[in-house]
Amino acid sequence: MSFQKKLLAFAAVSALSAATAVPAMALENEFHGMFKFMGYQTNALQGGDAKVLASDDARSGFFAEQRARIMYIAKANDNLKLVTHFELDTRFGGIKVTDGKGYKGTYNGNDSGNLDADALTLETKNVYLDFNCPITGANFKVGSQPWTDAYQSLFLSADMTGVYATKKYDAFTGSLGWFRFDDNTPAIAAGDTTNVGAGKYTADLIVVDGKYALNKDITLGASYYNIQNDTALTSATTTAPTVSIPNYELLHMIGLNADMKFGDAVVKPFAAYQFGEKNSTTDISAYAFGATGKVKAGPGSVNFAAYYLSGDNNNTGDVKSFQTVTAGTTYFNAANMWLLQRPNQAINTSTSLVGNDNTAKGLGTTGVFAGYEGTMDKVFYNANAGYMMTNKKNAAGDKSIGTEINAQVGYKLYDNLSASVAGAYVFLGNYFDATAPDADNPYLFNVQLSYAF
Amino acid sequence: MRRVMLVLIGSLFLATSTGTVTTAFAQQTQAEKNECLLASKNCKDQVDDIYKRMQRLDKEIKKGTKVYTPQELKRLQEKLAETQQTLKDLEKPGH
Repeated sequence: MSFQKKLLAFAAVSALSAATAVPAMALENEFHGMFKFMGYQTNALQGGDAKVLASDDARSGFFAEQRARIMYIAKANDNLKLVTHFELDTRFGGIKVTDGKGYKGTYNGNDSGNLDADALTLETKNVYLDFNCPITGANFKVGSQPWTDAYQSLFLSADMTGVYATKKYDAFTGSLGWFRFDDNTPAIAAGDTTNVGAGKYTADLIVVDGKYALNKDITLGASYYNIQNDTALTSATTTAPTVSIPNYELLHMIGLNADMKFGDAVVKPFAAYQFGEKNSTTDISAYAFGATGKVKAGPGSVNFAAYYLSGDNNNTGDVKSFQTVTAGTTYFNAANMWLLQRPNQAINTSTSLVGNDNTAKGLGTTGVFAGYEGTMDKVFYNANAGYMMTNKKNAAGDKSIGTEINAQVGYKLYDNLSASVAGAYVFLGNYFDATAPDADNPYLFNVQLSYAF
Repeated sequence: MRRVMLVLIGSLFLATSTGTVTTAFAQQTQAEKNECLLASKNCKDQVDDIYKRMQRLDKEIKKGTKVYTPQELKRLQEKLAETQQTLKDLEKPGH
């Protein structure tokens, strides 16, 4: 066969291969996303993560912010997909370069709200491979992914890099996960022979979780979380990061949770115990418990939620304060609060009276919340009330953080787009008397546009 | 031999391109108004938004065992739960 013939034959085979390979390479492309606009008139919010103000003659101001999230999923088939998720946050007018009250997505001039926009605002939230293993039958998620505890996010809800495996056996679902949320390996300095490569100074989370569906209405869960934090060991060196996250070396957390449906009521109770080592001389012994629920009543439903985090107000003996990873990665969304707890509808500004720290710097807190929500055709509404207190007295001997009342009413302009207004007011408790004796009660009015696709 | 090859290759390309053209015409003929351009409706590559996907999955699940096997129903329910989780992730507060 001459060279030309060989070439033609090769071209024909290639064309045939390409034609037959197309169906096997086909991808299902899923695009999803959201956009939210939030406007606030408030005397309490500072923007970003800075905690809700409790101060004398707090000035009221109006600010607006927006968030878009874009998710692209490349699905090869039902057993294999790549999930990518990005975020773009902006405050109208931008955030001043030196303003420390912004957060990673928007400060240091990284805010397209500035004059003439053009800033680097794209944040990566998730990039992970999600596949069902044909050998083990387990589902694996590998990469930067979202993870939330089974305790209403009071311990941890965050995007983290790790590997998470889930396998179902009839009514039982078991999960095993490993997340590395900190790798603070110091830069290797010239001539420094003591430093080592990546993976030496790390913080890891191990997750063992089991859920058993007793019947179609009741699911029982048990979990074990383990945090091993070696990053603190680097804090004494000059080249290493000095911030240890979290602020303990070893933590074990065991807990039980349930999801129970009784007629028109759904109740989700939970309880957890923590033990471990704060450092080489101090141990941890702490606990948390609570419940959330929803009961149908009239045209809508009554919501309730409550929790207790153990606290400590002395520095001797074991630490009895409930431990988290960081305040910024905890939530209690079932509260439906705007100021006492970080709001479950929040975007860029996501904070609370205790700066998202439900441990209140180790004092521990109790929260009790209730509300009513409903819909009428395209109108939706809710009204809520809540109370929070610390479980141990602060230095001034006070415990009451405050009582919040709030309400929201909205309208569905389209299936995907809703507009709403909300108001929230907090009657401050005596917890702030020592630091801000004449503090004004915080309030906010919120106007919101929310689109999801 | 060369001619045969050329005809073969030509036929392959013609077949694929004709297929595409035929499909496109089948979906949007010149006689019809182009609703995709006119009103962003019925576009050839239109995909479901997340709410529509949930509604469609729910509709299929409600057809029950008259249409689907128990195994298929379970799969649809898993897909609905998966889509609900996606929406939850999109709307998750915080950073």
